Amino acid sequence: MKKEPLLQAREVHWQYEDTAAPSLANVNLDLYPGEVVGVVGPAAAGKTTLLLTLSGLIPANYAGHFVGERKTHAELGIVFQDPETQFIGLTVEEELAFSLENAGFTDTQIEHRIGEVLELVGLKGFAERSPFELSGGEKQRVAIASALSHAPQVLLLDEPTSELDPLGAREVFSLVRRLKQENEMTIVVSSHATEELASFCDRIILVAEGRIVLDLPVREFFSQVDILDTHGIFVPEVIRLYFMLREAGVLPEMPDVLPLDVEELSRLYREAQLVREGSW
Amino acid sequence: MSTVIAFEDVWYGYETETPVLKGVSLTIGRGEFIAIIGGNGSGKTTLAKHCNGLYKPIKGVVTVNGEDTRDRSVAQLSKTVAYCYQNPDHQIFHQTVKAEVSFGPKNRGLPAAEIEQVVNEALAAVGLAHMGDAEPYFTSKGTRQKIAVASILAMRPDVIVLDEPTTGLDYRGMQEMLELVRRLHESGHTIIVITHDMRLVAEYAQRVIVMQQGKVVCDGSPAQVFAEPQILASAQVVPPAIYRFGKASGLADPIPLTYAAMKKMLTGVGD
Repeated sequence: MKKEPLLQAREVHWQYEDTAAPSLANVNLDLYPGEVVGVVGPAAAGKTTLLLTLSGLIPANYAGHFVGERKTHAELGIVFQDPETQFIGLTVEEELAFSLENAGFTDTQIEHRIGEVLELVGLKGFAERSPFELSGGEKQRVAIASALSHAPQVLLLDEPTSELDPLGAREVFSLVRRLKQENEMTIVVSSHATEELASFCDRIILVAEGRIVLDLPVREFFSQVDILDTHGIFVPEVIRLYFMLREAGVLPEMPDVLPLDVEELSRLYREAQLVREGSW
Repeated sequence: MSTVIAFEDVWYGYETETPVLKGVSLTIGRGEFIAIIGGNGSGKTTLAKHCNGLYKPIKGVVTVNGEDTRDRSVAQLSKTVAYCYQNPDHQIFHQTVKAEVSFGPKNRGLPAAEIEQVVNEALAAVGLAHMGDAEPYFTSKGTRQKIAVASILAMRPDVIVLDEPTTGLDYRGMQEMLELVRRLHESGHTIIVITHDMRLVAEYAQRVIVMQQGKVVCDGSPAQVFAEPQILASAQVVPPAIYRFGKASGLADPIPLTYAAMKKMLTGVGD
Protein backbone atom coordinates (compact mmCIF):
# COMPACT_ATOMS: atom_id res chain seq x y z
CA MET A 1 0.00 0.00 0.00
CA LYS A 2 2.99 2.34 0.41
CA LYS A 3 1.61 5.51 -1.10
CA GLU A 4 2.55 9.01 0.00
CA PRO A 5 1.53 9.57 3.62
CA LEU A 6 -1.43 11.89 4.18
CA LEU A 7 -0.06 13.04 7.49
CA GLN A 8 3.35 12.94 9.10
CA ALA A 9 4.58 13.76 12.58
CA ARG A 10 8.32 13.96 13.22
CA GLU A 11 10.01 14.16 16.62
CA VAL A 12 6.99 15.87 18.10
CA HIS A 13 7.19 17.09 21.70
CA TRP A 14 4.34 18.93 23.33
CA GLN A 15 3.94 20.26 26.85
CA TYR A 16 0.78 22.06 28.02
CA GLU A 17 1.37 25.35 29.80
CA ASP A 18 1.78 25.04 33.58
CA THR A 19 2.37 21.30 33.58
CA ALA A 20 5.38 19.45 34.98
CA ALA A 21 5.94 16.95 32.19
CA PRO A 22 5.46 16.79 28.42
CA SER A 23 2.22 15.17 27.22
CA LEU A 24 3.88 13.96 24.03
CA ALA A 25 7.55 13.09 23.62
CA ASN A 26 9.46 11.95 20.55
CA VAL A 27 6.35 11.09 18.55
CA ASN A 28 6.91 9.87 15.01
CA LEU A 29 3.95 8.80 12.93
CA ASP A 30 3.00 8.33 9.26
CA LEU A 31 -0.61 7.97 8.25
CA TYR A 32 -1.31 6.43 4.83
CA PRO A 33 -4.44 6.76 2.67
CA GLY A 34 -7.17 4.21 3.46
CA GLU A 35 -5.64 3.08 6.76
CA VAL A 36 -7.71 2.66 9.88
CA VAL A 37 -5.45 3.16 12.89
CA GLY A 38 -6.46 2.48 16.48
CA VAL A 39 -4.89 4.36 19.40
CA VAL A 40 -4.93 2.70 22.82
CA GLY A 41 -3.37 3.62 26.13
CA PRO A 42 -4.21 3.94 29.80
CA ALA A 43 -6.09 7.00 31.09
CA ALA A 44 -4.02 10.20 30.76
CA ALA A 45 -1.47 8.50 28.47
CA GLY A 46 -1.67 11.22 25.81
CA LYS A 47 -4.24 9.74 23.40
CA THR A 48 -6.37 12.88 23.19
CA THR A 49 -3.27 15.06 22.95
CA LEU A 50 -1.99 12.89 20.10
CA LEU A 51 -5.24 13.30 18.16
CA LEU A 52 -5.35 17.04 18.83
CA THR A 53 -1.78 17.27 17.55
CA LEU A 54 -2.53 15.22 14.43
CA SER A 55 -5.53 17.50 13.78
CA GLY A 56 -3.39 20.63 14.14
CA LEU A 57 -5.51 21.99 17.01
CA ILE A 58 -2.28 21.60 18.99
CA PRO A 59 -0.39 23.89 18.90
CA ALA A 60 -2.82 26.27 17.09
CA ASN A 61 -5.54 26.47 19.76
CA TYR A 62 -3.72 25.44 22.94
CA ALA A 63 -1.13 27.13 25.13
CA GLY A 64 2.10 25.20 25.53
CA HIS A 65 5.47 24.36 24.05
CA PHE A 66 5.64 22.56 20.69
CA VAL A 67 8.78 21.10 19.15
CA GLY A 68 9.04 19.03 15.99
CA GLU A 69 7.18 18.91 12.73
CA ARG A 70 3.69 17.99 11.59
CA LYS A 71 3.01 17.89 7.86
CA THR A 72 -0.27 17.32 6.07
CA HIS A 73 -1.92 18.23 2.80
CA ALA A 74 -5.15 16.45 3.73
CA GLU A 75 -8.49 17.87 4.91
CA LEU A 76 -9.14 16.60 8.45
CA GLY A 77 -12.28 16.15 10.52
CA ILE A 78 -12.25 15.53 14.28
CA VAL A 79 -14.90 14.19 16.67
CA PHE A 80 -14.61 14.40 20.47
CA GLN A 81 -15.69 12.11 23.31
CA ASP A 82 -18.81 13.99 24.31
CA PRO A 83 -20.76 15.05 21.20
CA GLU A 84 -22.91 17.52 23.15
CA THR A 85 -19.93 19.77 23.78
CA GLN A 86 -19.76 20.54 20.08
CA PHE A 87 -23.47 21.00 19.28
CA ILE A 88 -24.61 24.56 18.57
CA GLY A 89 -27.65 24.07 16.32
CA LEU A 90 -31.24 23.58 17.49
CA THR A 91 -31.86 21.02 14.76
CA VAL A 92 -29.59 18.43 13.17
CA GLU A 93 -29.86 20.38 9.92
CA GLU A 94 -28.73 23.66 11.55
CA GLU A 95 -25.93 21.79 13.24
CA LEU A 96 -24.64 20.46 9.94
CA ALA A 97 -25.29 23.68 7.99
CA PHE A 98 -23.29 25.92 10.31
CA SER A 99 -19.79 25.13 9.14
CA LEU A 100 -20.87 24.74 5.51
CA GLU A 101 -22.43 28.22 5.58
CA ASN A 102 -19.25 29.61 7.08
CA ALA A 103 -17.28 27.98 4.29
CA GLY A 104 -19.41 29.87 1.73
CA PHE A 105 -21.44 27.01 0.22
CA THR A 106 -24.75 27.95 -1.47
CA ASP A 107 -28.08 26.89 0.05
CA THR A 108 -28.58 24.25 -2.64
CA GLN A 109 -25.11 22.84 -2.09
CA ILE A 110 -25.66 22.80 1.67
CA GLU A 111 -28.99 20.99 1.38
CA HIS A 112 -27.49 18.44 -0.94
CA ARG A 113 -24.46 17.86 1.26
CA ILE A 114 -26.55 17.52 4.43
CA GLY A 115 -28.68 14.88 2.72
CA GLU A 116 -25.53 13.04 1.69
CA VAL A 117 -23.83 12.97 5.10
CA LEU A 118 -27.02 12.05 6.96
CA GLU A 119 -27.45 9.11 4.65
CA LEU A 120 -23.79 8.20 5.14
CA VAL A 121 -24.15 8.00 8.94
CA GLY A 122 -27.55 6.26 8.75
CA LEU A 123 -29.63 9.22 10.00
CA LYS A 124 -31.77 9.95 6.96
CA GLY A 125 -34.95 11.70 8.10
CA PHE A 126 -33.30 13.20 11.20
CA ALA A 127 -32.72 16.72 9.75
CA GLU A 128 -35.54 18.40 11.70
CA ARG A 129 -34.82 16.67 15.02
CA SER A 130 -33.08 18.39 17.94
CA PRO A 131 -29.58 16.94 18.36
CA PHE A 132 -30.01 17.14 22.14
CA GLU A 133 -33.01 14.79 22.14
CA LEU A 134 -31.32 11.94 20.29
CA SER A 135 -29.88 8.75 21.83
CA GLY A 136 -26.16 8.71 22.64
CA GLY A 137 -25.29 6.72 19.53
CA GLU A 138 -27.36 9.03 17.32
CA LYS A 139 -25.75 12.14 18.86
CA GLN A 140 -22.30 10.80 18.15
CA ARG A 141 -23.33 9.97 14.58
CA VAL A 142 -24.52 13.58 14.13
CA ALA A 143 -21.10 14.74 15.38
CA ILE A 144 -19.45 12.40 12.85
CA ALA A 145 -21.78 13.67 10.09
CA SER A 146 -20.72 17.19 11.00
CA ALA A 147 -17.04 16.26 10.76
CA LEU A 148 -17.72 14.56 7.40
CA SER A 149 -19.65 17.48 5.91
CA HIS A 150 -16.51 19.00 4.39
CA ALA A 151 -15.58 15.65 2.86
CA PRO A 152 -12.30 15.31 4.77
CA GLN A 153 -9.79 12.65 3.71
CA VAL A 154 -8.93 11.86 7.31
CA LEU A 155 -11.36 11.37 10.19
CA LEU A 156 -10.00 11.58 13.75
CA LEU A 157 -12.24 10.06 16.45
CA ASP A 158 -11.24 10.64 20.07
CA GLU A 159 -12.79 7.93 22.27
CA PRO A 160 -16.05 8.27 20.35
CA THR A 161 -17.87 5.67 22.46
CA SER A 162 -16.59 6.31 25.99
CA GLU A 163 -19.77 8.20 26.95
CA LEU A 164 -22.09 5.71 25.24
CA ASP A 165 -23.83 2.53 26.35
CA PRO A 166 -22.92 -0.68 24.48
CA LEU A 167 -25.74 -0.26 21.97
CA GLY A 168 -24.66 3.30 21.10
CA ALA A 169 -21.06 2.11 20.93
CA ARG A 170 -22.02 -0.67 18.52
CA GLU A 171 -23.79 1.89 16.28
CA VAL A 172 -20.71 4.10 16.14
CA PHE A 173 -18.26 1.24 15.53
CA SER A 174 -20.39 -0.22 12.75
CA LEU A 175 -20.45 3.23 11.15
CA VAL A 176 -16.63 3.33 11.34
CA ARG A 177 -16.54 -0.13 9.74
CA ARG A 178 -18.83 1.07 6.94
CA LEU A 179 -16.79 4.25 6.32
CA LYS A 180 -13.74 2.03 5.98
CA GLN A 181 -15.28 -0.60 3.70
CA GLU A 182 -17.54 1.51 1.50
CA ASN A 183 -15.80 4.88 1.51
CA GLU A 184 -12.19 3.81 2.07
CA MET A 185 -11.76 6.62 4.56
CA THR A 186 -8.56 7.12 6.46
CA ILE A 187 -9.51 6.97 10.11
CA VAL A 188 -7.66 7.33 13.42
CA VAL A 189 -9.73 6.21 16.41
CA SER A 190 -8.69 6.17 20.06
CA SER A 191 -10.59 3.82 22.34
CA HIS A 192 -10.38 1.41 25.29
CA ALA A 193 -12.58 -1.04 23.35
CA THR A 194 -9.77 -3.26 22.09
CA GLU A 195 -12.14 -6.06 21.02
CA GLU A 196 -13.83 -3.64 18.62
CA LEU A 197 -10.52 -2.16 17.42
CA ALA A 198 -9.26 -5.68 16.67
CA SER A 199 -12.24 -6.19 14.38
CA PHE A 200 -11.62 -3.27 12.02
CA CYS A 201 -8.20 -1.64 12.51
CA ASP A 202 -5.33 -2.24 10.12
CA ARG A 203 -2.81 -1.02 12.63
CA ILE A 204 -2.79 -0.10 16.32
CA ILE A 205 -0.66 2.31 18.32
CA LEU A 206 -0.04 2.02 22.06
CA VAL A 207 0.59 5.35 23.76
CA ALA A 208 1.91 5.51 27.32
CA GLU A 209 3.27 8.51 29.17
CA GLY A 210 3.21 10.54 25.97
CA ARG A 211 5.31 8.12 23.97
CA ILE A 212 4.46 5.67 21.22
CA VAL A 213 5.34 2.29 22.73
CA LEU A 214 3.99 0.07 19.93
CA ASP A 215 2.94 0.83 16.36
CA LEU A 216 2.16 -2.44 14.59
CA PRO A 217 -0.26 -4.18 12.22
CA VAL A 218 -3.23 -5.43 14.23
CA ARG A 219 -2.27 -9.13 14.57
CA GLU A 220 1.31 -8.32 15.50
CA PHE A 221 0.09 -5.70 17.94
CA PHE A 222 -2.07 -8.11 19.90
CA SER A 223 0.74 -10.70 19.94
CA GLN A 224 2.57 -8.38 22.38
CA VAL A 225 0.50 -9.56 25.33
CA ASP A 226 3.22 -8.92 27.94
CA ILE A 227 3.68 -5.30 26.87
CA LEU A 228 -0.09 -4.74 26.77
CA ASP A 229 -0.42 -6.25 30.27
CA THR A 230 2.38 -4.03 31.56
CA HIS A 231 0.50 -0.95 30.38
CA GLY A 232 -2.87 -2.14 31.65
CA ILE A 233 -4.42 -2.60 28.20
CA PHE A 234 -7.30 -5.06 27.92
CA VAL A 235 -6.25 -8.00 25.77
CA PRO A 236 -9.37 -9.30 23.97
CA GLU A 237 -10.60 -12.56 25.51
CA VAL A 238 -10.23 -14.45 22.22
CA ILE A 239 -6.55 -13.56 22.04
CA ARG A 240 -5.83 -14.40 25.67
CA LEU A 241 -7.68 -17.68 25.27
CA TYR A 242 -5.65 -18.47 22.12
CA PHE A 243 -2.33 -18.08 23.95
CA MET A 244 -3.62 -20.06 26.92
CA LEU A 245 -4.75 -22.95 24.68
CA ARG A 246 -1.47 -22.90 22.79
CA GLU A 247 0.50 -23.05 25.99
CA ALA A 248 -1.69 -25.93 27.23
CA GLY A 249 -1.00 -27.85 24.01
CA VAL A 250 -4.63 -27.73 22.87
CA LEU A 251 -3.63 -25.63 19.85
CA PRO A 252 -0.44 -26.26 17.85
CA GLU A 253 2.49 -23.83 18.03
CA MET A 254 2.34 -23.44 14.24
CA PRO A 255 0.92 -21.95 12.08
CA ASP A 256 1.27 -18.75 14.01
CA VAL A 257 -1.62 -16.61 12.79
CA LEU A 258 -3.22 -14.78 15.67
CA PRO A 259 -7.01 -15.22 15.64
CA LEU A 260 -8.88 -11.95 16.18
CA ASP A 261 -12.42 -13.18 16.68
CA VAL A 262 -14.38 -16.16 17.99
CA GLU A 263 -14.87 -17.67 14.53
CA GLU A 264 -11.14 -17.62 13.72
CA LEU A 265 -10.22 -19.16 17.08
CA SER A 266 -12.93 -21.81 16.82
CA ARG A 267 -11.74 -22.75 13.32
CA LEU A 268 -8.17 -23.22 14.61
CA TYR A 269 -9.47 -25.34 17.48
CA ARG A 270 -11.59 -27.56 15.21
CA GLU A 271 -8.69 -28.00 12.77
CA ALA A 272 -6.44 -29.03 15.64
CA GLN A 273 -9.10 -31.53 16.75
CA LEU A 274 -9.24 -33.04 13.25
CA VAL A 275 -5.45 -33.38 13.11
CA ARG A 276 -5.49 -35.07 16.51
CA GLU A 277 -8.25 -37.50 15.49
CA GLY A 278 -6.55 -38.20 12.12
CA SER A 279 -3.31 -39.14 13.83
CA TRP A 280 -4.98 -41.88 15.87
CA MET B 1 -30.55 -17.42 53.04
CA SER B 2 -32.80 -14.76 54.56
CA THR B 3 -34.60 -12.32 52.29
CA VAL B 4 -33.39 -8.72 52.46
CA ILE B 5 -35.40 -7.16 49.61
CA ALA B 6 -38.63 -8.44 48.09
CA PHE B 7 -40.62 -7.20 45.07
CA GLU B 8 -44.25 -8.31 44.83
CA ASP B 9 -45.98 -7.50 41.52
CA VAL B 10 -44.28 -4.09 41.31
CA TRP B 11 -45.49 -1.57 38.74
CA TYR B 12 -43.94 1.82 38.16
CA GLY B 13 -44.53 4.53 35.57
CA TYR B 14 -43.61 8.12 34.88
CA GLU B 15 -46.77 10.22 34.62
CA THR B 16 -49.18 8.79 32.08
CA GLU B 17 -46.65 7.07 29.83
CA THR B 18 -46.31 3.32 29.34
CA PRO B 19 -45.23 1.74 32.66
CA VAL B 20 -41.48 1.24 33.07
CA LEU B 21 -41.96 -1.73 35.41
CA LYS B 22 -44.80 -4.12 34.69
CA GLY B 23 -45.40 -6.56 37.50
CA VAL B 24 -41.93 -7.43 38.78
CA SER B 25 -41.75 -10.09 41.49
CA LEU B 26 -38.46 -11.30 42.95
CA THR B 27 -36.61 -11.77 46.21
CA ILE B 28 -33.03 -10.83 46.99
CA GLY B 29 -31.29 -12.90 49.64
CA ARG B 30 -28.71 -11.62 52.10
CA GLY B 31 -25.18 -12.01 50.75
CA GLU B 32 -26.11 -12.52 47.10
CA PHE B 33 -24.10 -11.02 44.20
CA ILE B 34 -26.66 -10.12 41.54
CA ALA B 35 -26.17 -8.55 38.12
CA ILE B 36 -29.11 -6.81 36.46
CA ILE B 37 -28.76 -6.68 32.69
CA GLY B 38 -30.97 -5.51 29.83
CA GLY B 39 -31.17 -3.07 26.93
CA ASN B 40 -31.82 0.65 27.05
CA GLY B 41 -35.20 1.44 28.55
CA SER B 42 -35.65 -2.11 29.85
CA GLY B 43 -36.28 -0.82 33.38
CA LYS B 44 -33.09 -2.00 35.10
CA THR B 45 -32.18 1.34 36.70
CA THR B 46 -35.82 1.89 37.71
CA LEU B 47 -35.83 -1.55 39.33
CA ALA B 48 -32.61 -0.79 41.20
CA LYS B 49 -33.90 2.59 42.43
CA HIS B 50 -36.81 0.79 44.10
CA CYS B 51 -34.35 -1.07 46.33
CA ASN B 52 -33.66 1.96 48.55
CA GLY B 53 -36.95 3.80 48.08
CA LEU B 54 -35.67 6.40 45.59
CA TYR B 55 -38.73 5.22 43.65
CA LYS B 56 -41.85 3.79 45.25
CA PRO B 57 -44.18 1.47 43.33
CA ILE B 58 -47.44 2.82 41.90
CA LYS B 59 -48.81 -0.70 42.38
CA GLY B 60 -47.45 -3.69 44.29
CA VAL B 61 -45.03 -3.70 47.19
CA VAL B 62 -41.27 -3.49 47.77
CA THR B 63 -40.08 -4.51 51.20
CA VAL B 64 -36.64 -4.04 52.76
CA ASN B 65 -36.09 -6.30 55.74
CA GLY B 66 -39.83 -6.93 55.68
CA GLU B 67 -40.81 -3.25 55.82
CA ASP B 68 -42.79 -1.58 53.04
CA THR B 69 -40.56 1.09 51.37
CA ARG B 70 -43.58 3.41 51.18
CA ASP B 71 -43.55 3.64 54.98
CA ARG B 72 -39.86 4.60 55.11
CA SER B 73 -37.90 7.65 53.90
CA VAL B 74 -34.84 7.25 51.67
CA ALA B 75 -32.74 8.48 54.60
CA GLN B 76 -34.05 5.64 56.79
CA LEU B 77 -33.64 3.05 54.04
CA SER B 78 -30.10 4.27 53.23
CA LYS B 79 -28.90 2.68 56.48
CA THR B 80 -29.72 -0.69 54.91
CA VAL B 81 -29.48 -0.13 51.15
CA ALA B 82 -27.05 2.28 49.48
CA TYR B 83 -27.26 3.37 45.85
CA CYS B 84 -24.16 4.41 43.94
CA TYR B 85 -24.80 6.45 40.81
CA GLN B 86 -23.27 5.63 37.43
CA ASN B 87 -21.58 9.02 37.23
CA PRO B 88 -19.71 9.77 40.48
CA ASP B 89 -19.86 13.49 39.65
CA HIS B 90 -23.62 13.34 40.24
CA GLN B 91 -23.03 12.69 43.91
CA ILE B 92 -19.71 14.36 44.79
CA PHE B 93 -19.95 17.95 46.06
CA HIS B 94 -17.38 18.48 48.83
CA GLN B 95 -13.95 20.09 48.65
CA THR B 96 -12.03 17.19 50.19
CA VAL B 97 -12.36 13.44 49.96
CA LYS B 98 -12.76 13.15 53.73
CA ALA B 99 -15.50 15.78 53.89
CA GLU B 100 -17.30 14.02 51.05
CA VAL B 101 -17.21 10.64 52.78
CA SER B 102 -18.15 12.20 56.16
CA PHE B 103 -21.35 13.75 54.81
CA GLY B 104 -23.58 10.68 55.26
CA PRO B 105 -22.50 9.68 58.79
CA LYS B 106 -22.66 13.36 59.89
CA ASN B 107 -26.25 13.52 58.69
CA ARG B 108 -26.99 10.39 60.67
CA GLY B 109 -25.91 12.37 63.73
CA LEU B 110 -23.08 10.05 64.73
CA PRO B 111 -20.60 11.35 67.35
CA ALA B 112 -17.37 12.83 65.94
CA ALA B 113 -15.16 9.94 67.05
CA GLU B 114 -17.42 7.40 65.37
CA ILE B 115 -17.58 9.49 62.18
CA GLU B 116 -13.79 9.54 62.12
CA GLN B 117 -13.74 5.77 62.51
CA VAL B 118 -16.33 4.91 59.81
CA VAL B 119 -14.77 7.37 57.35
CA ASN B 120 -11.31 5.94 57.87
CA GLU B 121 -12.64 2.40 57.47
CA ALA B 122 -14.52 3.34 54.29
CA LEU B 123 -11.49 5.04 52.75
CA ALA B 124 -9.28 2.08 53.65
CA ALA B 125 -11.80 -0.33 52.10
CA VAL B 126 -11.58 1.43 48.72
CA GLY B 127 -7.81 1.92 48.95
CA LEU B 128 -7.92 5.70 49.43
CA ALA B 129 -6.73 5.97 53.06
CA HIS B 130 -3.90 8.26 51.93
CA MET B 131 -6.14 10.65 49.99
CA GLY B 132 -8.40 12.11 52.68
CA ASP B 133 -7.22 15.66 52.04
CA ALA B 134 -7.26 15.48 48.24
CA GLU B 135 -9.81 17.47 46.23
CA PRO B 136 -12.19 14.99 44.58
CA TYR B 137 -12.50 16.92 41.31
CA PHE B 138 -8.74 16.82 40.74
CA THR B 139 -8.61 13.02 40.89
CA SER B 140 -9.10 10.49 38.08
CA LYS B 141 -12.51 9.11 37.13
CA GLY B 142 -11.57 5.77 38.72
CA THR B 143 -10.68 7.50 42.00
CA ARG B 144 -13.89 9.56 41.95
CA GLN B 145 -15.80 6.31 41.45
CA LYS B 146 -14.06 4.90 44.55
CA ILE B 147 -14.83 8.07 46.53
CA ALA B 148 -18.50 7.58 45.65
CA VAL B 149 -18.33 3.97 46.88
CA ALA B 150 -16.54 5.07 50.09
CA SER B 151 -19.31 7.63 50.71
CA ILE B 152 -21.93 4.91 50.70
CA LEU B 153 -19.77 2.49 52.71
CA ALA B 154 -19.55 5.10 55.45
CA MET B 155 -23.29 4.56 55.93
CA ARG B 156 -22.49 0.90 56.69
CA PRO B 157 -25.27 -0.48 54.51
CA ASP B 158 -26.01 -4.20 54.20
CA VAL B 159 -26.90 -3.92 50.52
CA ILE B 160 -24.92 -1.98 47.92
CA VAL B 161 -26.50 -1.13 44.57
CA LEU B 162 -24.00 -0.04 41.91
CA ASP B 163 -25.22 1.47 38.64
CA GLU B 164 -22.70 0.72 35.86
CA PRO B 165 -19.64 0.98 38.13
CA THR B 166 -17.12 0.36 35.34
CA THR B 167 -18.39 2.78 32.68
CA GLY B 168 -15.83 5.28 31.44
CA LEU B 169 -12.92 3.62 33.27
CA ASP B 170 -9.83 2.31 31.54
CA TYR B 171 -9.06 -1.41 31.93
CA ARG B 172 -6.91 -1.00 35.03
CA GLY B 173 -9.51 1.25 36.67
CA MET B 174 -12.15 -1.32 35.79
CA GLN B 175 -10.17 -4.20 37.32
CA GLU B 176 -9.60 -2.22 40.53
CA MET B 177 -13.30 -1.40 40.80
CA LEU B 178 -14.30 -5.04 40.24
CA GLU B 179 -11.82 -6.29 42.84
CA LEU B 180 -13.21 -3.73 45.29
CA VAL B 181 -16.74 -4.99 44.66
CA ARG B 182 -15.55 -8.58 45.10
CA ARG B 183 -13.97 -7.68 48.46
CA LEU B 184 -17.17 -5.94 49.59
CA HIS B 185 -19.13 -9.06 48.69
CA GLU B 186 -16.68 -11.31 50.53
CA SER B 187 -16.93 -9.10 53.60
CA GLY B 188 -20.65 -9.86 53.74
CA HIS B 189 -22.39 -7.16 51.71
CA THR B 190 -25.23 -8.02 49.37
CA ILE B 191 -24.25 -6.66 45.95
CA ILE B 192 -26.60 -5.62 43.16
CA VAL B 193 -24.84 -4.37 40.02
CA ILE B 194 -26.53 -2.89 36.97
CA THR B 195 -24.18 -3.57 34.11
CA HIS B 196 -23.61 -4.03 30.41
CA ASP B 197 -20.27 -5.69 31.08
CA MET B 198 -20.61 -9.40 30.39
CA ARG B 199 -17.14 -10.18 31.75
CA LEU B 200 -18.29 -8.79 35.08
CA VAL B 201 -21.36 -11.00 34.84
CA ALA B 202 -19.39 -14.12 33.89
CA GLU B 203 -16.62 -13.74 36.44
CA TYR B 204 -18.29 -12.14 39.45
CA ALA B 205 -22.06 -12.53 39.55
CA GLN B 206 -23.77 -15.52 41.16
CA ARG B 207 -27.17 -14.63 39.78
CA VAL B 208 -28.30 -12.64 36.74
CA ILE B 209 -31.63 -10.90 36.29
CA VAL B 210 -32.46 -10.01 32.69
CA MET B 211 -34.91 -7.14 32.21
CA GLN B 212 -36.84 -6.47 29.05
CA GLN B 213 -39.65 -3.93 28.59
CA GLY B 214 -40.22 -3.63 32.31
CA LYS B 215 -40.37 -7.34 33.05
CA VAL B 216 -37.97 -9.95 34.36
CA VAL B 217 -37.51 -12.30 31.40
CA CYS B 218 -34.78 -14.48 32.89
CA ASP B 219 -33.43 -15.03 36.40
CA GLY B 220 -30.70 -17.60 36.97
CA SER B 221 -26.99 -18.34 37.19
CA PRO B 222 -24.71 -16.76 34.52
CA ALA B 223 -24.41 -20.16 32.79
CA GLN B 224 -28.20 -20.57 32.67
CA VAL B 225 -28.71 -17.05 31.32
CA PHE B 226 -26.00 -17.24 28.64
CA ALA B 227 -27.64 -20.46 27.40
CA GLU B 228 -30.72 -18.44 26.35
CA PRO B 229 -29.55 -16.79 23.09
CA GLN B 230 -32.97 -15.41 22.15
CA ILE B 231 -33.49 -13.73 25.49
CA LEU B 232 -29.98 -12.29 25.38
CA ALA B 233 -30.45 -10.95 21.86
CA SER B 234 -33.72 -9.27 22.80
CA ALA B 235 -31.95 -7.72 25.80
CA GLN B 236 -29.19 -6.47 23.44
CA VAL B 237 -26.57 -8.52 25.26
CA VAL B 238 -23.71 -10.52 23.74
CA PRO B 239 -22.27 -13.37 25.88
CA PRO B 240 -18.53 -13.22 26.66
CA ALA B 241 -16.09 -14.44 24.00
CA ILE B 242 -15.05 -17.52 26.04
CA TYR B 243 -18.65 -18.72 26.04
CA ARG B 244 -19.16 -17.91 22.33
CA PHE B 245 -15.96 -19.84 21.50
CA GLY B 246 -17.32 -22.87 23.36
CA LYS B 247 -20.61 -22.63 21.51
CA ALA B 248 -18.97 -22.18 18.07
CA SER B 249 -16.65 -25.14 18.76
CA GLY B 250 -19.49 -27.47 19.66
CA LEU B 251 -18.44 -27.98 23.30
CA ALA B 252 -20.92 -29.71 25.57
CA ASP B 253 -23.05 -27.77 28.05
CA PRO B 254 -22.48 -26.28 30.53
CA ILE B 255 -20.00 -24.19 28.55
CA PRO B 256 -17.34 -22.64 30.80
CA LEU B 257 -17.40 -18.88 31.42
CA THR B 258 -13.87 -18.32 32.71
CA TYR B 259 -10.37 -18.99 31.33
CA ALA B 260 -9.59 -21.45 34.09
CA ALA B 261 -12.79 -23.44 33.58
CA MET B 262 -12.30 -23.51 29.80
CA LYS B 263 -8.72 -24.71 30.14
CA LYS B 264 -9.84 -27.42 32.53
CA MET B 265 -12.55 -28.58 30.14
CA LEU B 266 -10.22 -28.77 27.13
CA THR B 267 -7.20 -30.28 28.86
CA GLY B 268 -8.73 -32.05 31.82
CA VAL B 269 -6.20 -30.18 33.95
CA GLY B 270 -7.01 -27.28 36.24
CA ASP B 271 -4.69 -24.56 37.49
